[in-house]
Amino acid sequence: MTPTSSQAAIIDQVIKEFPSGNDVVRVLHGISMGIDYGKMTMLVGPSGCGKTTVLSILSGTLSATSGTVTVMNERLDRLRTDDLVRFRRRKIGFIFQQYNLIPTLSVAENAAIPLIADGVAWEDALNQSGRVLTHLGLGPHLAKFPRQLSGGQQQRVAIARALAHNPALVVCDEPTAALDAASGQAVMALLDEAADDPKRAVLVVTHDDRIFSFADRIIRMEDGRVIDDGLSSSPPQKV
Amino acid sequence: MKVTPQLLRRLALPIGATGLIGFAILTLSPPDKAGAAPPAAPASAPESQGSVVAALGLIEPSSEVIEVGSELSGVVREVFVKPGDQVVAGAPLFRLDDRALGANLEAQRAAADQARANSAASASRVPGLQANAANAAAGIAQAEAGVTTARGTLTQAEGRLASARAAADAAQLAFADAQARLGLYTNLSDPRAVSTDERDRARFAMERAKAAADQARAAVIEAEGGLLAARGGLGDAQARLAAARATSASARASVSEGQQTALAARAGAAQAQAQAKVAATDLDRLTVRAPIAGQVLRLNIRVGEFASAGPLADPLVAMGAVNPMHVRVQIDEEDAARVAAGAPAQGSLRGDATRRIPLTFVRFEPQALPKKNLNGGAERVDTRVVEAIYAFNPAGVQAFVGQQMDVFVTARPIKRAETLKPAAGNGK
Amino acid sequence: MMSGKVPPSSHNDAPTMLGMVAIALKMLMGDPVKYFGLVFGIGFSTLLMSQQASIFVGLLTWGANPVLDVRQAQVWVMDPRVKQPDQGQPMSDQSLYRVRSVDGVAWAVPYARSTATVKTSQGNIAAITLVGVDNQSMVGLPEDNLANSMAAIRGRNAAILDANKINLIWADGRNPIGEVVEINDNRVVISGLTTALANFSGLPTLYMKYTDAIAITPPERNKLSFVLVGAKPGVEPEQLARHITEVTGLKALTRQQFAAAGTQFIVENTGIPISFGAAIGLGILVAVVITALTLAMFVAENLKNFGALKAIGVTNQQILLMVLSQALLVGFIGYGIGIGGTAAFLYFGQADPSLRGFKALGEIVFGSAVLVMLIVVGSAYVSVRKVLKLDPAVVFRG
Repeated sequence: MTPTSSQAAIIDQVIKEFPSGNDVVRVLHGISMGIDYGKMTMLVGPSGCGKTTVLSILSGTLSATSGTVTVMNERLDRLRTDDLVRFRRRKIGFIFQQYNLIPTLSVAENAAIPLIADGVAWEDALNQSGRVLTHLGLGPHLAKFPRQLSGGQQQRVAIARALAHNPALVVCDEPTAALDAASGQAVMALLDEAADDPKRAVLVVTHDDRIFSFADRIIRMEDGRVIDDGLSSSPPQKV
Repeated sequence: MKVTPQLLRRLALPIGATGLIGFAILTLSPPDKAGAAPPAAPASAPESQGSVVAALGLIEPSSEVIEVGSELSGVVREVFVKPGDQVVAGAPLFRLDDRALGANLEAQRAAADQARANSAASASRVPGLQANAANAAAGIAQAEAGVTTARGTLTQAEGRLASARAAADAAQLAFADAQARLGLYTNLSDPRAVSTDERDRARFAMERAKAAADQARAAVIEAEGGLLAARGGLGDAQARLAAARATSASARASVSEGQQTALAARAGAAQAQAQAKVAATDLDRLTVRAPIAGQVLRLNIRVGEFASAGPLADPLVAMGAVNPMHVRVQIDEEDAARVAAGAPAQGSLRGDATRRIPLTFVRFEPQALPKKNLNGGAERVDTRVVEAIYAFNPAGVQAFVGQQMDVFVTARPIKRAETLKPAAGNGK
Repeated sequence: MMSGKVPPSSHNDAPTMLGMVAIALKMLMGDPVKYFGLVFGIGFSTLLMSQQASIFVGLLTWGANPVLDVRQAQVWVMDPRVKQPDQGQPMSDQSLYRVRSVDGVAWAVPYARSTATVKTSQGNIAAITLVGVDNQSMVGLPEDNLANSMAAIRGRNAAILDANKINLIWADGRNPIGEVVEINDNRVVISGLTTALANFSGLPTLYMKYTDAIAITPPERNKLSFVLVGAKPGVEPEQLARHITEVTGLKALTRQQFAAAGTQFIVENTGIPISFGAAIGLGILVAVVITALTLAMFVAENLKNFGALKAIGVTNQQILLMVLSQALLVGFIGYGIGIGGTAAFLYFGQADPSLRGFKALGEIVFGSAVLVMLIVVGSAYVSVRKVLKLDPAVVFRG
C-alpha cells in the first residue's frame, strides 16, 4: 500500500512476535492499514485479536518485528528511541482505558503534561490546557484533582491531555470501557468533534459496540489479521 | 506561578529544611584557629642575633653573694643596716647581746686590777729585802775588813815577835860576845896585856849586853803576847765575818723570795689583763661588720632573734658588690661548644621579655657542674652545664640578685650532619 | 505548525526539564504518606548519622583538644616516648634551653600537664588536669576570657578553672571564683574562669603559672611535660620539628601532627570507633533501607502513571530527572531536618556541661550531605531502573 497524504498513519506488512518462554508467539501476521485524516477510525475485534498491539505499534510505543510503520511521513521503525519519544509527544495524543491521570496533579496540570514535557513554559502550558479543558466543559474543575471528578470527567481530562498539544494523530485505547453509557457517549462525542479536524486522525480501539456509531470507518481484526478494513463495506449505521 | 497558600504549604518543608541547614551551618564550630600570637611576648632572641644558645641565667653580685656569718651566737640587740643599704668595708652590720660578756669583762678587768695591785705590792717589798741584803753584804765587808785588820795586826805581831826575837838573839849574841870578851880579859895571863880600864869597859859592856839581852828577851815575850792577842783578834774577826756572811745569805734568800713573789704577781696581773683583753675582744666580736664594700642583699636577722654562729642555711646577712651585676649563665654542655669565649649575649628578665639587656662576657667557670634544678627536685639525669659569667650594668635596670634571666648567647650555628659532605673530587 | 521532521537526538532537552521537575515534585508532595515517610526516614537517619558522627568526632577530637587549645604553639617538643597529650613523661628542664638554642625557633616556652586531686573547702575531692603555662608568655591559656585570665593567674598559687567542668568539682552550681582548694597540701585560689575544649580524660582543667604548677606537684625528677615552640617567620613547622628532633633528640611534632596523634591514640586504644562506627553504620543502613524501599515503593505504585507518561512522550531522561528531583527533594528536606536536629542537639546541648565538648563540624555537615545525596541518588537510580526499562506499551494492556 502506498502512503498517501490523506493518511496520517500507515502500517505495512507488520508482523509482531512476542517471546513466550522458549517459544515465540506471533500476534500480528503481516498487517497493513492506513489511518485517514479527518476521520474517526475504530479498530475492533475480540480480546486478544491484536488490536491493542496495532495501536501500540501505530503510536510508536511498541516496535514491530518486521514491516514498516509510517506516521506523518516519518518511518517510526527507523527512529531512535529518544526521537520516537519526542515524536510521540509532539504528534500523537493518547487516551487510555484507565485515564492514567496522575492523581496528585490538578486537572489542568494533568492536561498540560505533554506540553510541559515538550518544554512549554509552565504558565503557557496551563493556559493552553485550561483552554482545551474549558472547551471540553471542564472549566470549573481546573484546579481540582482527578479523584474529585467522575469517571466521565476524568476521561475528558484525558482527552484534553491528548488534545492539548494539538496532535495530528490521537489514539484511544478502550476510552469508554470504564464509563457508563452516558459518559461514554459524551466522551465519544468529544472525540468525534476532535476527529472532525481535517489535520487530525483519530484511532479508537474498542470492543464497546455502543460507540461504533461514532466511527467513520471500522477495521475489524481477528487473530492478528484484518478481516475487514472497513473500506469495502458501507459505513456502519449510527445507533 | 502564583503564590498560593497551597504553594506556601508545599514550600514549608523545603524552606524549613533550608532554615535548619542554615542553622546547622551557622552553629558550626569555628575552624581550628592555629597560629595565634602568644598572649604575652615570650623570651626570645632578637632576629638580628642569628644563631643562639639559650640558657638560664642567674643574677648574682660581682662578688658573688657573701653570706656574712657571726663568730658568736647570741641574741641580736641591734641591727645597723637595712636591706639594700650600701655599706663600706668594716661597717657594723649588727650587734649581739653583750651583757654577759660585758660583765665578764668587768670581772676580768677587776681581777686584772687586783692582780696588778698584788703585783705592785709584791714588787714594793723587794727593795727592803734588797736593802737588808745589802746591809748584810756590808756587814760581810766590815767583817772581812776586821779580819784583814786582825790579820794585819797578827802579821805585825808576828813581825814584832820576829824582830823581838831577832833583837833578843842579837842581844844574846851581844851578851854572849860581851861575856866572852870579859872572860878573855879576866883570864888573860899578862894582866899588863889588857888595861884594867878595858876590862872594866868589857865588863860594863858585858853588863850592858846582859841587860840588853834580858830586855830583848822581855820584848820577845811581850811580842809573843802581842802575837797571841793578834791571833785572838783574827779569830774574833773571822767569826764575825762568818756571822755576817750568814746574815747576808739569809737576806739574799729573802730578796729572791720577794722577787719571785713579785714576778708571780706580775704574771698574774698580766694574765688577768690578758683575760680582760680576751673579754674585750669577745665583746668586740659581738658586733658583726661588713667584710667588703657592697650592698646588703638580705637581712635574716632582726632585733631579739637568736643568731647562731657557724654556717647557716639562711645566712644572717647576705651582701655583695652589685656594680656591675653578674649573670651566671648555665649553658648545656652539648651547646657549650658552640659558644666562644667573649661571645656577646642578651638577656631578658622574667616578666619582661621585650626588654633585652646587653651582657658582656666575663669568663667561663673552669669547672662544669651538674645542673642545679631551680624548680625544686633534683635532676637525676646527669646533665652538666658549663657556667659562663656575664656582666651588665644594673643602672636603669630593675634587676635583683637571684633573679632568673633568659639569656641568648650568640653562637655558631649548629652543624648538621648532612652539610658535612665529603669534599668534591674524593669520589672516583 | 507541526513540522513533519523530528529534531535530531542531539536536541537539548534542558528547557523541558524544569516543568517535569515541578510535575515530579507535585507528584511527590501529593502523596503525603510517602513524602513524609521519606523525609522523616532520611531525616531520622541523617540525625542518627550526623549526631553520632559529631559525638564520635567530638570524642576523637577530645584526644587532640589539649593540643588544639594551645593555638600559639606551632611545634610541640616532648619526650620520645610520649604518644598523646595526656601522657606525662616529663623532660629535663634543660630541654627548654636546648630547644631554644635550635636555629629557626622564634620562642620556646615550658608547659606542664599532669593530673592532680583537688580538695575543696567543702570537703569534696575531684581529679583535675593541672596545666602549668609559661609565667612569661602565658602560652597555653585558652583564648576565652584571655585578658582576664592573664591578670587573674598572676597571683601566688592562683588558678584559672575550665568553666565547662565546674560541676565536676562543685555540684551545687556555685561561682567558684574565690574558692580556695587544696592540691597536694598546697592552698590554691580559683581566681578566674575560662573555657577549654573538652579533653578525653573528661577532667576539669586547672591552669596555673608554670612555676606554681610544678611547685605544688609532688616531687619527681622532672616536671616539664612539653616545650611549646613558635617558628621564626618563614620557617615551616614541619621542617622545624624535624630539625629540633635532629638537634636535641627529643620528639618534636607540629601542632597538627600531635593533635592527630592524640586522636590516633583514642582510635587505637578505645572501643569508641567500633561502637560509634556501628551507630553511624546503622544510621546509614536505616537511611538506605528507608529511602530505597520507600522510593522504590513510590515508583512502583506510580509505575502505570510513569508508563502513561512514557507513552505520552516523556523521555527516560526526564523520568530519571523526575525521580532524581523527587529523591533530592526528600533528601534535602530530610537532611535539613536531620542536620538541623543534630545542630540543635549540639547547640542547645551546650547548656549541659557534659555535652559541651561536641561541636557541629563542617566536615560532618558536609559529609552527611554527600552521604544523603549518595543514598537518595542511589536509591532513586535503583528504583527508577524499572521505569526506564518499562515498555510504554504496557499502559495499553491494563
